[in-house]
Amino acid sequence: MSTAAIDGIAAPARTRRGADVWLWIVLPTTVVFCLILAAPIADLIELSFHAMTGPAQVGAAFTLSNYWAFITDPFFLQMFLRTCWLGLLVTLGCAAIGYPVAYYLARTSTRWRGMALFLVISPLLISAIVRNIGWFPLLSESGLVNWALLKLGVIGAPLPLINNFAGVVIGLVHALLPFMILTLTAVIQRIDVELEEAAANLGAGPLEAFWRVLLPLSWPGVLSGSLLVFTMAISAYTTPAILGGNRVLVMATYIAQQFRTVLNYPAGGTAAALLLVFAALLTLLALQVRTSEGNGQSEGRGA
Amino acid sequence: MSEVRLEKVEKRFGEHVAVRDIDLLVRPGEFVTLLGPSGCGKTTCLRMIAGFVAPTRGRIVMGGRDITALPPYRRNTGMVFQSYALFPHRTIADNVAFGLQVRRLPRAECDARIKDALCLVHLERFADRYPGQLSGGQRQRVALARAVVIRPEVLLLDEPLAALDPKLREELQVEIKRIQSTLKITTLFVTHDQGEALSMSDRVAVMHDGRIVQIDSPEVLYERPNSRYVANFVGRTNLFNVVVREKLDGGMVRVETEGASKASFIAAVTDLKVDVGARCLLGARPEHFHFGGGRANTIQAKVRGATYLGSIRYVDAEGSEGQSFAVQVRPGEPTPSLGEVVVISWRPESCFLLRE
Amino acid sequence: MIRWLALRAALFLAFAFLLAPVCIVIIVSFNGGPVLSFPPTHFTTHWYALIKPEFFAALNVSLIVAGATALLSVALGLPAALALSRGRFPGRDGLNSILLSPLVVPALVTGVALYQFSLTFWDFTNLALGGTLIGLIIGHLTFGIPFSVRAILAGHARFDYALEEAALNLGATPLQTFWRVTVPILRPSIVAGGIFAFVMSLDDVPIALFMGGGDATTLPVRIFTTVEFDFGGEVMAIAALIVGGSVLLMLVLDRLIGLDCLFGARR
Repeated sequence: MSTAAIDGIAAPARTRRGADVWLWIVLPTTVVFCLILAAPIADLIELSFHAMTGPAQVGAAFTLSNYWAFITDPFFLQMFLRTCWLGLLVTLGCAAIGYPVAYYLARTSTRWRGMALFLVISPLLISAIVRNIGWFPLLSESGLVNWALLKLGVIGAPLPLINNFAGVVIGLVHALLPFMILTLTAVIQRIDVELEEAAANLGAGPLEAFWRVLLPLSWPGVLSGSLLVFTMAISAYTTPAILGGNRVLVMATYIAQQFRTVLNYPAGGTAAALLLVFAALLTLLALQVRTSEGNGQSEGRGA
Repeated sequence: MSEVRLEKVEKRFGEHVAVRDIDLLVRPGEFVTLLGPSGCGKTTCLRMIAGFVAPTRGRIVMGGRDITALPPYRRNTGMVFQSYALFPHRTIADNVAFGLQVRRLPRAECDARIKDALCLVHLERFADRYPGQLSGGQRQRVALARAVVIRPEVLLLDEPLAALDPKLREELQVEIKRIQSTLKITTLFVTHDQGEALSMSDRVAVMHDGRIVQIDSPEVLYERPNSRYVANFVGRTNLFNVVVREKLDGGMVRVETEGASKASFIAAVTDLKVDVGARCLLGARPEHFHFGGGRANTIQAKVRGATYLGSIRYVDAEGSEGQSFAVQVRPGEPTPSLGEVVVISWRPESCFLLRE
Repeated sequence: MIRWLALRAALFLAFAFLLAPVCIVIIVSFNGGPVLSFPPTHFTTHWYALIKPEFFAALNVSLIVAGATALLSVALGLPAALALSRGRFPGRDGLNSILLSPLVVPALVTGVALYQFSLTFWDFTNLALGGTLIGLIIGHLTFGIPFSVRAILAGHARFDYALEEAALNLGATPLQTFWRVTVPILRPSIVAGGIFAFVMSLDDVPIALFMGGGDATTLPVRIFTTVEFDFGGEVMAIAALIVGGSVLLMLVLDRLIGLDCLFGARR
């Protein structure tokens, strides 16, 4: 990826003129992209500095009242915390379920590996809507899970697993699990098998080897994968909207609500701007973790 | 078939000077090789002629035209790349056809020329295969066919045989030479392999650190190197310090070793202008040294070791002043034993003087 | 041994979890009784017959928008990818970051931002973007372009410049070299980028929800709004059909390209 390697052998860049040609080539795409993304977001942020004067009406005056409300009103604080809580639960769920699968994919070399990898990715290829719809016959009060649990006598009455927070958590874990698995697989693969073998040789059982060797070494990768999943979880809209039954109010569903039904555009815009900033910060953090992991690994190996 | 000239060409990459003040003339139909180690600037020279690198100073003239400012696709040179650069998405025939299609030649003539080119490299049967299905040597020949089919004024070859094994290399050296002399194309060949350079070229230009150190026919280059660098780069040489004592008739001088033994030799002087009293190097190839007397120049040495290379055997000996000699042993000749004191002799015409 | 069994069990449960919603959709779509219940009471196909025509219209819209998005994403993404991998110009790193932005900007935020922008746009020009196919396509380009760029950049990583030099040497102008050599060699990653853009466009809800409307409603949005109000059996049938279609698409892609190549799973 280094430009140094390219410069040595690339087609003759006639110094200054060469660089200018590329500017022209990249111009259309950049212009289009700015128009379709940068400008709308700028507009949205601008919107957040105005007040609502009526349904779908926006006042002309510049004001910080929207942001002030966000900071002071406990309603918004609760919503923000609920969003973070959702992200946390989903991340933990993905990590817990994903780590064993990732370990298997990283360490196995049977011909089932390709199939397994495909199975992990396949939910992503089926439309998100379909996946969410599928949860209803599974999680509803007369659905499969409750039917099985009642049959087995584990519970006496059906559990409310859908159209609520629990349903959203389950749905998001399912949706984001492939991402966690793929990230963790790559991380675990980079850890030399011989390290685990050495641990076993020195007397550590599987759990202890995991705790003392595998987890510490894979920790940066786990962290960056978790940040990725967390960011996606707090940004998600479709799953919380469908599986939450319009009752789960996290930032994404709140924003949509403001723009679709309540018609308080400035409030929606403010929440959207804040969500954007939050997601951006998390992504930057994830990148930081990833680069520091890269440095750490290259020192640790190769005795 | 045109001549190619580099006139006072220099190339800088930032602070680094890759090519310094090069003047080179390749005559029409001639096969010239640029020989040197990595980083000596030989590939840069080639790429400047092809048009992929612009010289910082100087001109490039081909067939009388100044092509320095022309882009590569207007220079009519044919280049064979080190990695062959065959288009993976086109068949062999389509690869060879590329230059003709771009020149908008009529279909019939294209087909005829492609057929001739593939026949020339003995690959007619492979016309519909893809590069991925061919061996390294076959791909090299396709690359050659593709370059000559457009009838370029100059053929440029950038270490084309570097990736092949020795046997295949030898075969292809012969092939390339045969094709070149059949077509009589002006050719510039770049390599770091001196055997290759000597066997294929009309003239060889030895390069070092961006400059051409010596350019001559292979025989002259080998027998009369003009510098320590060339003497050591092309073949093995015995070199030791001497001082000029006397100028003789017929272009000979008498020289003496500096130490106590004051061993005296007669050497041929070619271009080197030397004064009496000047220090220089006496050079001779191992195959010109003989054991035993019988020739004008003799010296005593003690055998230190021997190296067996199959077709050649070298004996290493040390002179009284610490000079090292390598002597090539003739087949059938007995090899002196370790520690034995021997007499080494050679003819004056077989050695040369070099600046220090 | 126990560890091995435990791992196996965990894997089995994990894979069952991953596939459960998709499998159940198909099973339940044939259920004669209440569709949200399990186990199915009796077998029927009448939900399939009850699918309203507007869903097929929505499918049409989805396909058109996805196709246009894929084509435009690739057309705009290719020059940007080439510039980023080969050019050295001021702002190059900035552009690189900008084009990573879809990961940063939540789709919902993009959706409402575009919606808001289309209103502003209407105020200034009296041209409607919301509720039009163009609006949908513009919305989908926000992720289509970046993903195409990244796909092509990945494919370009090991590009052999000697091939372009060979073409130039043989007499092709830079433009001819681009069409005859550069593009054919990059074709797999260009196609991959296009496919990513296509699939993501078909699947999108947040952006299409806010930029679409009326006749310009995509299939996922149509389903989404239906499910919000009334969760009937025909929705399950539609979902099952989509699963079938996706599986078919996957088989076709595997035949044509090899899915493991597409996802770089082959080591």
